[in-house]
Amino acid sequence: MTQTSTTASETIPELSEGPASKWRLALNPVVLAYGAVLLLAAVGGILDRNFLASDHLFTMVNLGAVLGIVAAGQTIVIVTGGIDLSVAGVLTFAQVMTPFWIDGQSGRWPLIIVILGIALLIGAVNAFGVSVLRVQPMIMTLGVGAVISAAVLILTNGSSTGGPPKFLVTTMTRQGALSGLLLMWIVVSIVTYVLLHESSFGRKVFAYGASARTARLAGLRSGTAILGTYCFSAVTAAMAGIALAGYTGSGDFGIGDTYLFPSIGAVVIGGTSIMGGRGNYLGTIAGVLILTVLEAILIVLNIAAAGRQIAEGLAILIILIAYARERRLRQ
Amino acid sequence: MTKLRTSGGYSIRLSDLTIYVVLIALVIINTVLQPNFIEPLNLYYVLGTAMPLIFASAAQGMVILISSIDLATGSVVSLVNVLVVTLIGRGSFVAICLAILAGIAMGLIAGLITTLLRLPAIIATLALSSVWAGLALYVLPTPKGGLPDWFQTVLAGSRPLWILVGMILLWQWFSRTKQGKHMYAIGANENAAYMSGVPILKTRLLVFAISGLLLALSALSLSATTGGGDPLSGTALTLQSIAAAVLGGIHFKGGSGSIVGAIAGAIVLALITNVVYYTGASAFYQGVVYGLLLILALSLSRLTGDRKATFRRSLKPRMSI
Repeated sequence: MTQTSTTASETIPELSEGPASKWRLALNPVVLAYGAVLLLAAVGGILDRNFLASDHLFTMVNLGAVLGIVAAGQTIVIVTGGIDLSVAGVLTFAQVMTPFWIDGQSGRWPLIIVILGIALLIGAVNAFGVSVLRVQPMIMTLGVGAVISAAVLILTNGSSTGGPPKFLVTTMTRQGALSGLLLMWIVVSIVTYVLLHESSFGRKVFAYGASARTARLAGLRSGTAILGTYCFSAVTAAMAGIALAGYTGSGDFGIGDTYLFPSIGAVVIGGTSIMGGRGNYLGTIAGVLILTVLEAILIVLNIAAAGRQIAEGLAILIILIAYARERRLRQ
Repeated sequence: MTKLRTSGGYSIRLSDLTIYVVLIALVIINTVLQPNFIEPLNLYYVLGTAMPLIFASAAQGMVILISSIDLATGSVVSLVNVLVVTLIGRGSFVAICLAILAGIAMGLIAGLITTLLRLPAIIATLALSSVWAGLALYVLPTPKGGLPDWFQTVLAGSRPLWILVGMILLWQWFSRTKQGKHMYAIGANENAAYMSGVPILKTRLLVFAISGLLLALSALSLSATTGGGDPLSGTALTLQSIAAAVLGGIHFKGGSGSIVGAIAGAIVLALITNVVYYTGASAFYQGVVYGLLLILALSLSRLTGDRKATFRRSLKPRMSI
């Protein structure tokens, strides 16, 4: 927890000064988000004694890992002031095409690299539209996402067949602390954190998100930052899809859509501004945990899918009201 | 009293005409592929099936005009759709009135949350979407038919055309009223509008209420075309309505464009479905055409006339006291 607070104060300089800084630190979104995780976990523990047992904790983290991997790329895109709606299409593409092309033959593993390469290309197309053609990120990624979703249907002729290679299945379905999903999330998280908070690329991303115009006038070459951002997002979405292919064992055309809105929600309830320029990847991890633990609690309470959706929507709204409000017009 | 004079409502830019050119081209392509296409009965039918998207795109267009966005569109339509089907047993009049009231109420809630609580629309409506979709699933867990026969003939014959004409006339009137001009002023620059005495809360709530009403009408026409209720019936409308509004020339950052364009955009999307069907290509190609058209239309309008348009937007609304 201490590490969280120090990084948070580094990102928002004004927090470290002034008499009220202690209070403002306590109100920092990242700190609040981790507080919410602990609170929710405590509620879960009260409702069900097994909730905090290590088995259940690992199951929850494994389920959250896929969302966490998608949300990592989404965080960087949102910090630039954009949004990536094509993650749904890319995730579906990777999740359906991995079993379809590999067809259960472990010898065909290079196809996984091909899929990641195609994702890289998709990211580059998004970046081209956003920075060269100057199409709104939301519209550009919406259009690209529609094309990819359709392309998956055309390539597979509408029926998902085949199976993932054995090594993928064994890595991804392993349970416990060293599960493939969890390890993947940890690696992606470290890379994302370093990229966003400890590299010149990350500083470009923040500068561009705060004000694209100022960044350009200051001599930043925003094109490379945008290219890296959208490519990274597409690759993380594809990684999540490949991992899911191993986890579920067969392709599912609708799977990407179920991760699209939670990935945006996790980023925003983690305290990253949807307007861009402000944010912290550590918050996104908390956001993913909040959504995952909340879902687990609702399942423990035996609430049907309809009730879970309502509760999750309301919970996100309440968290947003706590700290994601825009400034008054008067200011 | 401040008087506003905006050019937003009725100035015509070349790039605004793009969508109508695409529309005419699609009508020609459709007629070449299928000579019967141009017959009135068939045109009415195509319009009738496009009605849900047309209403939803108009609703989305209103919200984008004030520089906001509604990602709950599809869920609102689904919820109203299942409400109509479950309430129809208590009398059609009651069911339809309640459906419309529910639509307006959901619009007002979105308006209040984004204006009074100042949550960013993109994420607030996303959360609301989850709430409405959950409610729809709660009201009607599985698809169900049972709408009376007369309900399914609401959009029969030439009626869709007259509804469309009515919508366009109403829009031409509304965009010229004081409220209409306030709407453009908020979309162009909310801060400047506030400083000039535009009633922000009232105008935004009005826009969201109208948008909710249009979504209720979208749900009613969806119920009429499908003859039943489905908790997922509206899902596709969210992204389609955004695409239609933006294709139709409504500026994504608000303040310029027209609902007539959004309607044209919706019809274009419907006609693309038709073309793909007539060419005998697999329905899967629909998504490819629709995605590429979206990107192409936007990048073209950016590459051709945008510098001038942005400049003009910065001057708008011109105000005189």
